[in-house]
Amino acid sequence: MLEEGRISYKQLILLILVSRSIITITYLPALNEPPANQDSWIASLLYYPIQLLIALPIYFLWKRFPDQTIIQYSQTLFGKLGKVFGVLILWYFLHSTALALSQYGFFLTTAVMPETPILFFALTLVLISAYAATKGLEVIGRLSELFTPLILFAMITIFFLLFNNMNFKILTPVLEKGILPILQGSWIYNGRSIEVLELAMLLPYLNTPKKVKSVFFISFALVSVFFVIITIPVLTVFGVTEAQSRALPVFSVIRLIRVGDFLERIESVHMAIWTLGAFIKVTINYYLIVLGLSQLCNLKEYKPLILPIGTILIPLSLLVGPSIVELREFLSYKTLVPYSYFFILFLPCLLLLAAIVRKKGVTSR
Amino acid sequence: MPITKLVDKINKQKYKQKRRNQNSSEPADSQGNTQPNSQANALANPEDNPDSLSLNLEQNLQRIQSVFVESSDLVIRKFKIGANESINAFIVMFNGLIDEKSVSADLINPLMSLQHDLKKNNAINIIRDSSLTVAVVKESRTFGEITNAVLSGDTALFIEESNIALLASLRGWEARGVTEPKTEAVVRGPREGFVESLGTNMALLRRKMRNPALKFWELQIGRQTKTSVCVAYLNGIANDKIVAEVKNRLQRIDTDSILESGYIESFIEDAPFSLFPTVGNSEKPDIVSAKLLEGRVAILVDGTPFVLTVPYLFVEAFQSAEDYYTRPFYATFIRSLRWLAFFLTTFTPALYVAITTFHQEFLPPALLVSIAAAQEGTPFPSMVEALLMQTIYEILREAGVRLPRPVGQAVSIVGALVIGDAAVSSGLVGAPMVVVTALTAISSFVISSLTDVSTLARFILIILAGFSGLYGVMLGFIAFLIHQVSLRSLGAPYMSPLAPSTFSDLKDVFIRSPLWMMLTRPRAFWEKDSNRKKPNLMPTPPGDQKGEK
Repeated sequence: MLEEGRISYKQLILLILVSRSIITITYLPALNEPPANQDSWIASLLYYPIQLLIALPIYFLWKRFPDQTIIQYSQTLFGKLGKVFGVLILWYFLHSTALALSQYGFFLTTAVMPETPILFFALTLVLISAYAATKGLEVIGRLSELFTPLILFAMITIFFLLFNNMNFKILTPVLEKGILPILQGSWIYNGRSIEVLELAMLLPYLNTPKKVKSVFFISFALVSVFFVIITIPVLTVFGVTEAQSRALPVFSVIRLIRVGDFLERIESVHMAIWTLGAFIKVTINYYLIVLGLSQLCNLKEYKPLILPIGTILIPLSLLVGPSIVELREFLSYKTLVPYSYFFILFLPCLLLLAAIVRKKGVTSR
Repeated sequence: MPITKLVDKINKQKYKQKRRNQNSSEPADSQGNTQPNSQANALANPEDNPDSLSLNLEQNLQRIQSVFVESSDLVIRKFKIGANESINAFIVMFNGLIDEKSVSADLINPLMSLQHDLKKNNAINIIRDSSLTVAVVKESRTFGEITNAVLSGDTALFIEESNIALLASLRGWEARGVTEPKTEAVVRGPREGFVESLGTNMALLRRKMRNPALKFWELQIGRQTKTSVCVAYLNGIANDKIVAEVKNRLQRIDTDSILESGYIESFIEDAPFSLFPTVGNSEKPDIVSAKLLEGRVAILVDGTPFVLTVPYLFVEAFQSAEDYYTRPFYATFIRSLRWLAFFLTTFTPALYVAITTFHQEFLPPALLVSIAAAQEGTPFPSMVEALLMQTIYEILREAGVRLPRPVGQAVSIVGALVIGDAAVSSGLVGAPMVVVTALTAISSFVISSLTDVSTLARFILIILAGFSGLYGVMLGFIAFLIHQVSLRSLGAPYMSPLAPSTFSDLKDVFIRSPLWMMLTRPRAFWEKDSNRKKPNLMPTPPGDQKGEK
């Protein structure tokens, strides 16, 4: 077996939570997407049921192939042709990781260290993620267990510290445009969930397979709550129009925190949790690329692939985001959502259909 | 079996050495062959084995003298057994390793005044059974075993026409008494500490736990020193796999000397290239007993008061024996202070460097002005300043530990006046840096067992902070944590119960919950008998006494 380590369901839930929600603590693209008004937070809540629906094919595929990752069972289903699916999925992983890296670097160069080139941030994060990836899945799981409580604690504290500045009247009228734009918004949020594929890669490594259902239910519920905790302060402090015009809405709102005369400049905390969270996201995706590639090529050892993949990731992260404007353009819902639904929904559905038609895998008892 | 392999290997080496030193005066094989299987060989064919005793007393004497040539502390006392002076005998012992009074009273006296009708062929049994008033007597047939026993302090009795020698344990030597250890002083709790003698240390543990499940498994390590090393564990509570693994790792050690438990530590630790210690040590019987009761394994080494305990987890550094003897509230408060102190001592200089170099905007304006004013006149950037002050502090500390007591004052004066005051007034370093260094130093004393880790980590973090600010500090923090969570100590994850997190074990990490709430042993390494006490032990006032007024 390539990976001897197993992760517990708690670790998996926390991994999914951080990986899905960390980018939003600075960019929060949801504000400019439908419904694009004070109802964004309802869209964050409705994200949950839709996400569960979208994850269904992955769940049924896991039922049929409990010991295989998506890379492996696409080969079981289609033989040599299945490698095409593997390549596509790996490409999507590679692309999203590069996007995350580039978002990570752009924030740090704009807000914290303006004179440092973005290459430095991509390089250091990839190096440290490579170090974690060589240590294996167990270590990544434990790191998520250490860092996620810190991130959650910080975000919840920030939410309460902003309570004074919030004006909840901004949230009215509720459902101004009706329910349909809100549903559309939830559908769009789900388009960014590469985490469905992460689950498809990680479920075989869960040490308690009985808990798979609760992984789906709890992790996405936490993500949904996290979105609400982030969206509400931004909307109620800034108001809709001003929030939409900010490039880094959550970061700007954190800068406003002043408690008494001594607790101010909390944004260093934001930078710290941003680094921790982005590290977790990049590390798990990086690790899955390496693991998936070695499964695709039937290698016995994944470690030799770590540095080569890293050398691909760094230039790719510079290529996908030559400037913050181009990056934002690609990440806006008009481009990204159709692109990523091809990978996170269409491919799994196709695989599930093939499994049902060809009667492969463990059929339900 | 690894032990037979080890013995074979040692014997082979001994054989080679013997071939090499064939002309030298000292027979080489006298050094070794303490293992039971060489004794078994001797029993099988006593004539063939050159190591077994001869029936001729004179030959045995010559053999002993040739083994211990040029040993001026060796005492050989010849005498005749029985009132009628019928049988020749001699005893061999080391002056200073034996209790002279007991040897005279319990060994020589009864033998000389023995009234029994002795014949040369049954003498040994009669002497052993009805003459020696010594508690521990062993028989031995090989010179190797006898040599070893005499070197450990036993007294060997050789008797005419007998190829068996009796080993009487009448040990006694100058040793430090049981005193309060200097490293782990307590306000409340037992004052006794381990001493240099293995026997006393085992007795100290035995007195804490009157329980046959407390096992001591002893072996000798060190080709030259033959140091006694003892594995202590509670049978049924310690994980059998861990006990077996500890024994296995100890048997693997094949070195010439074990002078302190640190030698053992460096041969058995899981991560020899890590900054972090994965083997714990303590000088106090109550602490070691508590660790044994949690299911850990202790390793006692003769000649040192420091007892090793494994598995050793990171959070143990933040626990102190006194936490459990005081009431839980203050103990919890102190424990959180320890975590704070650890973070302060590791991160303060790095954060100071990062903020003053890169992120001045994070400081409140008033503080920024005073720091800027202090830095104004200094020649170095704050990273160089921090490294300089930390190095000077480490030198001072090392000097303070090593120097003879009467010179102590000189170091304090040099430290306080010259380095603290004069460095600032001469404009070499800024005053805030002196404050930061002092804070770092004070905090480092709180977590004494992690001092070496925090010192080295501090230097690394200062350099990272000097090059890339808070971002560098964060990266360093992440890198340290990646390393820490990947460590294991005898199979137990080093960062447990933080990662992998076990909720039930968090009762003894950041808080010290009341003893009646600590129901289970740490999950990281238990195997069976996980329950420590009955639930519902919370003390309650006697029930509603309605009649009372």
